Amino acid sequence: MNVHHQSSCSQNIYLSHFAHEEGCYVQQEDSRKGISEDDDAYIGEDEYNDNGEKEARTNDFSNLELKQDHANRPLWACGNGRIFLETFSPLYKQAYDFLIAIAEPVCRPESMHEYNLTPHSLYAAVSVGLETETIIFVLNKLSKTKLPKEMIKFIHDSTANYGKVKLVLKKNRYFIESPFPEVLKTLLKDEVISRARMISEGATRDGFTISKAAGEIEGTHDELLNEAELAAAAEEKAAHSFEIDPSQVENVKQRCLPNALNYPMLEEYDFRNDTVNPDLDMELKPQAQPRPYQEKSLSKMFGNGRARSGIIVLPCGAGKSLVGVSAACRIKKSCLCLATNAVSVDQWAFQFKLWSTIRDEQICRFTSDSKERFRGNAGVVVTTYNMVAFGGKRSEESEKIIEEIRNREWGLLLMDEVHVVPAHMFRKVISLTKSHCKLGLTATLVREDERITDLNFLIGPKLYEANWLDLVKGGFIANVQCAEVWCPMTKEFFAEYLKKENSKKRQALYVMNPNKFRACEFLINYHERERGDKIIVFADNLFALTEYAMKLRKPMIYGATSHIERTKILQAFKTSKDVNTIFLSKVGDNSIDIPEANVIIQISSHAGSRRQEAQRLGRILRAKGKIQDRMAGGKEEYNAFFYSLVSTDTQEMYYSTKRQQFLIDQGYSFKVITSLPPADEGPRLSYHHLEDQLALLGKVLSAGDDAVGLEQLEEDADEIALRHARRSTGSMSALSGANGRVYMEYSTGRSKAQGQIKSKPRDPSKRHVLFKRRYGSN
Amino acid sequence: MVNATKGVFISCDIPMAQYIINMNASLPASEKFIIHVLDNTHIFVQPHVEHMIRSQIAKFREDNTYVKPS
Repeated sequence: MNVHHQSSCSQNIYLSHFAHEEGCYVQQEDSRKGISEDDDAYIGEDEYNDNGEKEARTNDFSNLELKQDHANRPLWACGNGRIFLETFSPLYKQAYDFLIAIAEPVCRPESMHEYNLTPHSLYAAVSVGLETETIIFVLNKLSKTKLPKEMIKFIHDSTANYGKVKLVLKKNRYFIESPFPEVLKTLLKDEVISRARMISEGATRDGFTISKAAGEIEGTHDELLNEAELAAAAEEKAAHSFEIDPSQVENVKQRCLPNALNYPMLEEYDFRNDTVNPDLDMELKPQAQPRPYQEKSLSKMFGNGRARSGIIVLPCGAGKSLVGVSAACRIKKSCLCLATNAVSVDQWAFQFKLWSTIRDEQICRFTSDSKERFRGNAGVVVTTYNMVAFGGKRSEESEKIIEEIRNREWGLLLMDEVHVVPAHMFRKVISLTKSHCKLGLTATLVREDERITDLNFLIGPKLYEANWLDLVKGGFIANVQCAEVWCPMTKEFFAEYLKKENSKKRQALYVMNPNKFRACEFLINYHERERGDKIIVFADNLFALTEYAMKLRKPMIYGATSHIERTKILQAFKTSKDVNTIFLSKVGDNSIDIPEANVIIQISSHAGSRRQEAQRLGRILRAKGKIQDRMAGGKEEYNAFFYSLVSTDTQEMYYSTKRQQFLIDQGYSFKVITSLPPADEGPRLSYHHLEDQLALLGKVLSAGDDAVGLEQLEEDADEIALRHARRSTGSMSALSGANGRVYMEYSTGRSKAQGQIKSKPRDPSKRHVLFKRRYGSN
Repeated sequence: MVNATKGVFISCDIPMAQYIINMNASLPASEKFIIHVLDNTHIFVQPHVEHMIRSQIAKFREDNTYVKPS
């Protein structure tokens, strides 16, 4: 159905026609040489790269035995843990559900998915109730080849110790529990764990508290009933346990992970038998109909009648809040819901009231603006990470509320957008609040600082991850046409871009490229007039944001825009026929809900942040219109458009390709458009005349270095990570913005050497094997 | 009197011409290689710099290309 153009790296730079004729000025041939031909010139001798051969050897699985009926089986399992799934197989749906439970998706294009088995993914698999033997059996059944021995061994090794140790929260105290005292002894040999131990009274000879756990079978889920029975049988034996220091819980959990002691801890909350904490009377309203994938993710969480901690990954616009609210409704205990900012706090409170029968007095918001306290002994509190983790002095009123949050035993800790929160803030929040069960929600489980694996012990394993393309096909999210628009730099702008003294203004120069401006103006005109679309234009660069918005006379929102003005602009955008385009800085990346928008034009972006790209796409993923129109062949096959405007021959090309990686891994493809605006638009668009362009160039050059920089928001983990990657240091000065929020400004440069300009990692050994042969003779 | 100069004729797009001009400008006077900038997309240069220009441009291009780490 879709035409898939992978965005190739080829650029439109060509240097050809080197004529060696004596008579000069002779043009030899008029052909543009492609890159591959160009490159041949540098290879010189046909030296074969040793590494390349080695790589080829380790990835050679031709000796695996193919089964007779391989055509009927959907996947290939390789000895190095990689699994490839054919999506056109009739068994695809079942195979997908199974694979997503046991393996990590690497890349999911339309016809062939790639997965990777890791200790963490197997840990997640056993924690949702799959057993070692089941995993191997099913995998073998689905595989076209006999399972490689390495893989079977790997699965055994990774899952052997699972389920022997449990972390239990009882009356605000943490215990490590196991039916096997010898396992506890092994754990206690570890320094970190023995230090975290707290000696409690009532201990037996070897120091463990023994309690008889009542056999409890509440399994409702048929397929998992057997596992539940087994687990319950084990519990009938005496459970040995010791208490640990609540502040050390995270360290202990980390020590128990597969890469350390390899006794991953099971964290389950038996909420139905919890008589200590008061029940909260809330049900899902009948009109709240969870979609199939929402059901599936919930069934992973409540597999055997208990609640497991973990992360659920669903694309933006696929209804994460309904999953969160449903989870809270099933547990029916006090719930603490954490969001990233005040706007999404309001949205969460609204979602709770919309989907559940919770009464108004049972839900309260706790932000710097509204400090509501709930009465009664159980309820839902919605607040931000910042409010809980804030270390400074608070008002007396909020001090009381925070004290209440700390002392309470929460049934569910619901965490929104877990990918954005910096790890240290997470730690603080988790150590401050005691909860039986944690549920993390996110759309993009990627971070530029590679701290994503920390979430495994901070929250729990990934319970479910939806496949974006399947949701698109099911009509649950919009079908987006992604395009990368290549805008060549104009002569004058590129000349300035290349000058060394302008290195700090590079970004401003490639963002303000008149060709890009014209392409943007053309797209806005086209979508506003021809299609009547609602458009969001994203620019990270504040200078560009203001210039574009002023020139095109459109409203804009950035960090310093007051809450009242924001609401006014968004309201106008939602309702008014005259406001069809708004300009947003990166404040609009996350959680601002603008369901009306269906076109995004990105004129500047935050370096190579994959997450930002995906989050921005998420702004238009909410499905609109009738479902039959949106299906393949319907009259509106694509009803949402995502344009990324890129100035060619600049650093932006590098960042742009990097940013797209996450979406490409989800199966999206970017179409490259090179001829925008069309030549006949001429003077109808701005900056047609050279003098206008030169005036603009003068403006960019005369603006201060600070003015052309990026807008900096406080809770921006990627920024910090990316800055490290660029090896730049800078001083920062804080200035306060609206809502008492604090924004930071990093003044780039000043004390910095010039080396910063080209410091992308260029380690030749990291290059792909195909590229290693390039420049061999240089 | 007509003087013949041996050289290399380069034809490229506008930004790349600027790149070559900038490269030339950054060199000391003795190493400057551009004989004549003919127009926005054509340059006439010393014959020995062809390889240097090619590799510089290849490097520049490489720097602006993202290769997914494996």
